[in-house]
Amino acid sequence: MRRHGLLVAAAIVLLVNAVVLVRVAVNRTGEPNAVVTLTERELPLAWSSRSAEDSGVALRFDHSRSFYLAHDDDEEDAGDGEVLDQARLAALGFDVRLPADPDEAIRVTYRELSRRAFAVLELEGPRWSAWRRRVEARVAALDAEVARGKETVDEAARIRQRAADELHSGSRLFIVDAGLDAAALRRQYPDRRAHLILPAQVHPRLVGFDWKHHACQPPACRLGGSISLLTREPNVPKQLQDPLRQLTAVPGAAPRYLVDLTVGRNHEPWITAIRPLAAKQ
Amino acid sequence: MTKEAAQARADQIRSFQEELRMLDAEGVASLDAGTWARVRAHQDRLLAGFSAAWDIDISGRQKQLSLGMRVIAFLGAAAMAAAVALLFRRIWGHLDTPAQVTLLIAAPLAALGLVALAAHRDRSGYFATIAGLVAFACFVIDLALLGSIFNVTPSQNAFLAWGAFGLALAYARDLRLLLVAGILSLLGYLTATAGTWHGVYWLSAGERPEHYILAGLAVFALSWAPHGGRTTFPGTYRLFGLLAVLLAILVLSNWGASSELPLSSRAVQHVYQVAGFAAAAAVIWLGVRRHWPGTTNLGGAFFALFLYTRFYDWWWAWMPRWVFFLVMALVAVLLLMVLQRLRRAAREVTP
Repeated sequence: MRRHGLLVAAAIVLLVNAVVLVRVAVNRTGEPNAVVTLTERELPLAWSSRSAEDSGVALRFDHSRSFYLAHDDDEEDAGDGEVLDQARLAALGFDVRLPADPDEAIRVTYRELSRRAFAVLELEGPRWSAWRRRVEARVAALDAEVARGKETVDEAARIRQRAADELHSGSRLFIVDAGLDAAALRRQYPDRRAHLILPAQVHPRLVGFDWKHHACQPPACRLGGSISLLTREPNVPKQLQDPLRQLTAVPGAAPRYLVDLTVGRNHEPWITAIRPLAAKQ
Repeated sequence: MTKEAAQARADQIRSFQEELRMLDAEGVASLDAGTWARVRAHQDRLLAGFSAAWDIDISGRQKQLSLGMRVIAFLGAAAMAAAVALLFRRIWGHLDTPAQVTLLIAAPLAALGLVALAAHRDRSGYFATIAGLVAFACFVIDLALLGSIFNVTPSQNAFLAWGAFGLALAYARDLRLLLVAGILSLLGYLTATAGTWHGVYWLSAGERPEHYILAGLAVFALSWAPHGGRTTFPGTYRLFGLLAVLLAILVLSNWGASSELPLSSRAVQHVYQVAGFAAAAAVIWLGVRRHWPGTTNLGGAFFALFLYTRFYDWWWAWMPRWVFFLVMALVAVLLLMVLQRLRRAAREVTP
C-alpha cells in the first residue's frame, strides 16, 4: 500500500471522474425526457452568477408565485398544498396520521424528514391560466375593496403594479405533481414540450395549525409539504455566456431571452441555446 | 519499520541514556567505559539510520520544534486548500467545457505528483501534508464543479469517493491529517446512507443523530482493521468514531425531538441521558483495559460533560450560584479520586 498508495489515489480520481462522465453521456444520449423552451421568466440569472468571486454563470429555476398576491393577510402559506394532498404524501412515504394532541402533532410532524421524489413542472398550462385569472380577479376587486375601506388607495396602486409585473414577468412554471416513479409520471404527463420531470425533495410541514388556541383540528390541520428541486441552477456553458450577457445588458424588465432546455434520460437538464425573445416569433 | 515505531525507539533510547546518567550520578549503577562506548555507538548508529530514513526527532528540543511545525503545516495546508478552491471558483467560468473537465481532472493528479515530490525531498512529512491536503481539496472541487457543470443530481456517493481518496493518500505517505479528512468523509457517507435506507433524502439524514451513532460505530470498528504498522492510525479511528457516537448521544440527551425512537421527547432524553453515562463509562473502561489513553480521556471528558449538563438542568434554576459551583468543584474532586483509584489499579495490573 505504501508503495502503490499514490497510484491507488490517482486511480480513484480517474475512475470516479470516468463514472461521472459516463453517467453524463448516458443522460444525454437517446431520446430526451423533455425538450422545452423557457424564458427569463422561468429561468432568471442565478444570484451566485453576480458574485465577483465566482466566474461561473447559471440560471435559476423559478416556479414561485408572488406571496403578496397569492395570500390574503389572514391566509396561511400552505407550501405546495395544492399538489401535496394526503394521498400523494402517503404515496411518497410520509405518515400522514396526526395525533389529536397538538404537542404530539407538532412532534410527529417534526419527526418526518424530507424525502426524495420527482416533481412535475408544467409550463404555461391550466395551473398558470387559473393563477392569471386569480390575479386579474384580485385587481378587478380592488376598487370595491378601497370603497369598503379594506385597502387604501396607495395599497391598491401597489397591488396593481405587482399584478402587472407578475402577469408580464412572473414565472409560468408550476409544480403540478410529485411521485417516486418518474416513468409513471411521464406516462401521466406525456407532453415532453410542456412537462418537465425533475429530481426534487419534499419537505413535510404542519398546515392549518391553530397557533392562537394551540389546537390541531383535522381536516384543516394536517400534514402538508413543499417541494424544492435538487438541481435548481442549471449551468450556462461558456459558448452561451456571451449571448446571455448581451441580452441581459439591455435595460428593461424580464423577459428578454429564450432558453432551450433539454432533460435527459437521468432527468438531469442542460441548456442547449439562449436566444433573444424576439426569435420566438 | 514505520516512522512512528522509529520515533518510539528513539524516545526509548533518549530515556535510557538519561536514566543511566542519573543512576550513575546517584551512585546506584554504572556501565564500564567499554560497554558504554559499545552501547552508545550502537544507539548512535540506530538514531542516525532513523534520522536519515524518516527525519524523526532525536532530541527534546527537536520535539518541541516539531510540535510548532505540525501546527504551521496544518494552517498552511488549510490556507493552501482554500486558495486553490477560491482560485478555481474565480477562473472556471472563463473556460469552455472540455478545458474545465481537463483542468478539474488534472489538478488532483498534479497535486498527487507534488505529494510524491514533497515526500521524496522532505522526509519530515510536513510539506507532503500540505501537498496532500491540496490534492484532497482539488478532488473535492473536481467532483463539486463537475456536478455543477453537468447539472448532476447531488448524492452522498461523492463522500465515499472523497473518503477513499483521503484514506489512500493517508496510507500512502502516513499523513494523519489526510486520515482525518478521509474518516470525516466516510462518516458523512455512512450517516447519509443510513438515512436513505428508509427513504429519507440524504442531506436530511444528518438531522437524526442516531444515524451518526451507526456511522461512528462503523468507523470505530475500522480501528481493528490492519493498518500496516501505522501505530497512530487505529487511535485516530477510535477517537473520531467514538466522538461521533458520544456527541450524538449528548445532543439526543438534551434534544429528544430529534430522535428516531417512537417515544415522547422527554422519554427519549431520559433514555439517552442514561445511555450517555453508560457509554462514557464503557469508553473509560475500554480505554483503561486496552491501554488506550486517548479513548480513556475522551470517555472521561464526556462523562464530565454528561454530568454537568444534568446538574445544570436539575439545579441551576433554583440553587444559589455559589452552591452550584461548589457542587461542581466537589464532583470534580470526587471524579479525580475515582480516576486515581482506577489509575492505581491499572498500575498494579500492568507489569
